[in-house]
Amino acid sequence: MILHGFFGPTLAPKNLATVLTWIHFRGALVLVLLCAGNFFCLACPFLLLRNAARKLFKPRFSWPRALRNKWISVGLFAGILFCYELFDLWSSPYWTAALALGYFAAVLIVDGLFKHAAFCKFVCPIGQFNFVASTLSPLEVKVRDSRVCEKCATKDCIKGRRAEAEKKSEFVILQRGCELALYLPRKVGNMDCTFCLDCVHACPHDNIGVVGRMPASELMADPLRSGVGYFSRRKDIAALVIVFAFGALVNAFGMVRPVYAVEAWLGRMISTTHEAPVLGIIFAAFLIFAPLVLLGSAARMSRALSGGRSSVGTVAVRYSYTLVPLGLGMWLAHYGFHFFTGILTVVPVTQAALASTGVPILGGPFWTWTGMPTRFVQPIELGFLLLGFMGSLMVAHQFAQEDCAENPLRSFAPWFVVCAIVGAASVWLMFQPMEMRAMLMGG
Amino acid sequence: MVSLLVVCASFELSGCARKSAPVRLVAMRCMVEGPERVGRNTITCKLTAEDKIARTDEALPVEGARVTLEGNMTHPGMSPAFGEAKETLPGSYTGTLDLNMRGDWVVTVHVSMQDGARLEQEIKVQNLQAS
Repeated sequence: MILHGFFGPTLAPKNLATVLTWIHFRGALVLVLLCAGNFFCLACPFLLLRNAARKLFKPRFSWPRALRNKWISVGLFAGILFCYELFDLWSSPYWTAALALGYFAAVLIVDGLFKHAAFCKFVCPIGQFNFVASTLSPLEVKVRDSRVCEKCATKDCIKGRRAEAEKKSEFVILQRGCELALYLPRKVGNMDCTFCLDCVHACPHDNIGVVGRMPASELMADPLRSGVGYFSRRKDIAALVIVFAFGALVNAFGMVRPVYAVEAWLGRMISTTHEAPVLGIIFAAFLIFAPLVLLGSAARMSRALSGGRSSVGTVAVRYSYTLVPLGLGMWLAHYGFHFFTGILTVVPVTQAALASTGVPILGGPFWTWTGMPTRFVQPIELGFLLLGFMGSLMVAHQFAQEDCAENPLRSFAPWFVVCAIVGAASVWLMFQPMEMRAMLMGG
Repeated sequence: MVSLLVVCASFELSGCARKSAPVRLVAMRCMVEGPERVGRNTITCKLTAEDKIARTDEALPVEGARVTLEGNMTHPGMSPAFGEAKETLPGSYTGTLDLNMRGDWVVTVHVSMQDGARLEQEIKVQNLQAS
């Protein structure tokens, strides 16, 4: 795929790098997260390289304490969304391949220097996307019987198993424990879990497995989570959720007709024809201003109506998690659209790629193979959006019941309005005429 | 939108005994007849050749070529459009292509000439709008 990106056709619809990355990978990712769990982290190709490299050299440093949070990955996540729009990554096989290669390099550098899975836990923007979305997945890596863990003395699920090497100061890892610092008996939900199954293999009692659960259940409670802490105290994870939810909107906004009128107007306002500052204002509006206004107002109202004593910031952080289902609904609607309408395009592109290497074993390219007609996909999109909206209402109502058991509607009402606004914006965006433009400002 | 001039050499190589081999430089000038709009768009393509060995300045029309049209959006995963251009005048080929969505398109004109030589030219159609 990377080779095809660099040396194959420059037209995005005919290159494996762009077709696989922006149509199939993204679409399959969100669908698997919804229907199963974080299996894309399990099958992450970047880890193959890391694990191979670790046979040659061992990382020496611990990830700096001040950076043991999600702020870097929040910035990277927003940065990738911004670059996607600014540099039209979807239309460039070269830059798509370069991005994948850059990712490999980043994994090698970070995990080559730092112990454990520092890249996965603190850096990887795709991983953070998966962590947030997988809070809604129906599967979870979990202890089967907690009584077995109470009697366990070795705690291999987190420590792993080691043997002494020839040098006494060193050791050989026989089986890794959880490199993301999730101690299974106290692990709650899917946050920070890459589904690597190291803990499953490490447990000497065969007491850990991938088990079913109610989707979103982990969002409705706020227990102490191993390796994570309390959701309600993690401003960085709340910021990640905000970028996840509002990033879904801005990512879709970049592809619909009204964005061009907004951009033209903004360009006139700040007297520029350059795309970066205009796009920067749009991103700031979506990722900073809108969340501040919406969540801030709702938190203030909710606090006033319920008579709660928590600060506005605390309430806002806690309730920000209600946006996860809405965000995933929007990602599903957007990426699902491209996935379903373009699902077959990988066939002719692969045929052409093989033919170009002199091995036309799959026959001539069937360029007319695309996917489902738009009219069939739109109801599916609407279904995803409604599912997300209902999920968000459910989570918000659960929080409201905990906050104000005697009259939960008082706490719930402002958050219903927030969900309704974000949900309506999602539906409006999805049914705007699409414009697949590579140059936002027509430059 | 005019995409000007891909000059391509069409060689007819012959044995070493001959002093000169005929070399044709083919010029290809293709355009989408404006204004471009979502829906059927007309694409015209003019093919001319110069014989550089004879050093004639006159550009002769390239007749009998097969000209096919292909439209792709810049975003992967979208339906492509296909069409064929017919020779309406000597060396002048005209066809239509159904560009069925707003946004950026790349129209590729594929030419197969009678001597087997192939040419290709891309025309960028930016910001296609509904009429």
